[in-house]
Amino acid sequence: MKRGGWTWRRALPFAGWLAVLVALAAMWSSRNASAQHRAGRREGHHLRLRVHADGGLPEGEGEGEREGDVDAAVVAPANPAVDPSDAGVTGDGGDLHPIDYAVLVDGGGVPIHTEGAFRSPFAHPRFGRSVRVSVGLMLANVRDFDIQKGTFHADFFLSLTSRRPMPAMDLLLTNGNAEVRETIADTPTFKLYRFIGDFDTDVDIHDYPFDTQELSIEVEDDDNGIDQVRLVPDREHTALDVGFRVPGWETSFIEARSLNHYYPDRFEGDDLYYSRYVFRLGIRRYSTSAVFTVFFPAVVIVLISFLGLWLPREELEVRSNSTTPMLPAAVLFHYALIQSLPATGYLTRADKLMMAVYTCLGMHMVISWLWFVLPPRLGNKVHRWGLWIGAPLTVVLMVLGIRS
Amino acid sequence: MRPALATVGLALAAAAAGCARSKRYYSHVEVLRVAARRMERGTGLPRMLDVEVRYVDCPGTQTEVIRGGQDFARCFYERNRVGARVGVQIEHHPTRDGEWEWHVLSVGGCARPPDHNDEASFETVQECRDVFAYGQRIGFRCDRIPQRELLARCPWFRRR
Repeated sequence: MKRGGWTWRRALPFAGWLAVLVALAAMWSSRNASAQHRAGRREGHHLRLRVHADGGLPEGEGEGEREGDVDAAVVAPANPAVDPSDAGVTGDGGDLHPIDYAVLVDGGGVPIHTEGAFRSPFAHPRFGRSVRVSVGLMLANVRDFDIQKGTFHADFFLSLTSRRPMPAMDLLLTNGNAEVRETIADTPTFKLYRFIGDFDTDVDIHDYPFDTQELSIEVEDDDNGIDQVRLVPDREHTALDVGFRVPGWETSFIEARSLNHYYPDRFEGDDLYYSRYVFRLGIRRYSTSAVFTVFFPAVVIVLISFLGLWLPREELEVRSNSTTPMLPAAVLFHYALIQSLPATGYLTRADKLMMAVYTCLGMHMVISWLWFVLPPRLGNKVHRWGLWIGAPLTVVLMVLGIRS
Repeated sequence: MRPALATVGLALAAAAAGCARSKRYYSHVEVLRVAARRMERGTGLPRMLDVEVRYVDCPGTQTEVIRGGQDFARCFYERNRVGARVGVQIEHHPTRDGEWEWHVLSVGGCARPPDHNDEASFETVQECRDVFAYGQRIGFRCDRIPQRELLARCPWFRRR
């Protein structure tokens, strides 16, 4: 009994020191895991993919340390009170990069996930339910819209709000470059950014000069697939700034959509979708300006030639002068119009109008030339029939050209 | 012939003048927000007031932030509260560049003479709808150019 008591007294200090050592080891392991995770985030997905696919590790990472990450994250969650389904959100599962626990099925190639909905090494099956993130956008300014290049400069605020904590996000402007990217707020459930940058957009000039252009701003989270983050447009917080105007255009609509963006397979098992937020500003050319800069000159050109149809053969010189010079005038006018537009594989509305103008002018010239081709005795008939056929046909062609 | 032409000319001029005449409308709004700007020392009453309202009689989402001076601020502050539905008097008139604009002349029984230096008042006139793809809601779209239905019920939103 006495001997047993002595044994317990000797063993207790050893047990105490052992516990301290275990605690220190756990802390050291956890710190390394966090440091490696942060470094991995900076490197980005593509670097990680390249290095791991080669079967090696990024510089500075040891095999043992990587295994330690797995143990620390899976066995010893940092916050045991949190629902395991939200493990990645709160930082424990988040410390572990998804590719770190993807497995090599055939001993080589692309590591994949055998659990969860996606095989991609960038999927995060241990993350739990994806976080629904409401995206608001307040467009402060748009300038330098170049319809020929399809570019514009925009200044906007982007807010991300969620009920549950978001994972670390790396927002990417997929159709532009941000000159300024200011983080105004960055909390787990609310983030606010300001972006200023240049963007590309598709241009549709089928209806030119009555065209409406859509200026798009596309945002995608570069780090997390839809198994972690789902971007949802927030109608209440999508707006244009007070006094917002795009010079030369009137604001037609604003639109926001979310879509699941799927990249064509970049590697084997690349099946992860990424949530993309798309904001569109619709701007419409002022119709008054369109009428006076395109339609009015075209109609005047045809009208001058049209009036020449009433002149008889005796006034052939005057008649020719009212028609022939209108053709180069129309060509120059058309040339000036298309200078400001991009090359297209289709005819714009203005092109169709100009086709009608060319046809009318050509017809008027042909009617005048008939006097030279046909015998003089038919001179009066040419004049009469030219007037009766040419005049209504001109009106019909121009109406068709304007309405096309 | 000449008198006939003159008559037609006069009639056209009169019609044009009639079309471009300003008009007053009366409608109802819901008070969404009341924010006092610049309080008066001593009394604690506002010297300037921003009132955000929503036009309840108009389709779509038509909101306006109306800033008013001291008399308006005191009157509105004492008489109205957030959530109340009150009357609003609007003047719709042509501008120098041929477009149209409107001004709120009174809200909730309080006169609000517009100040041409006011750059804080603004309105958001839009009609929003959800956008669907294959039966799934994927976003929304808000038209900023007033549609026929809106103009039929609330003509002061016409800008052209």
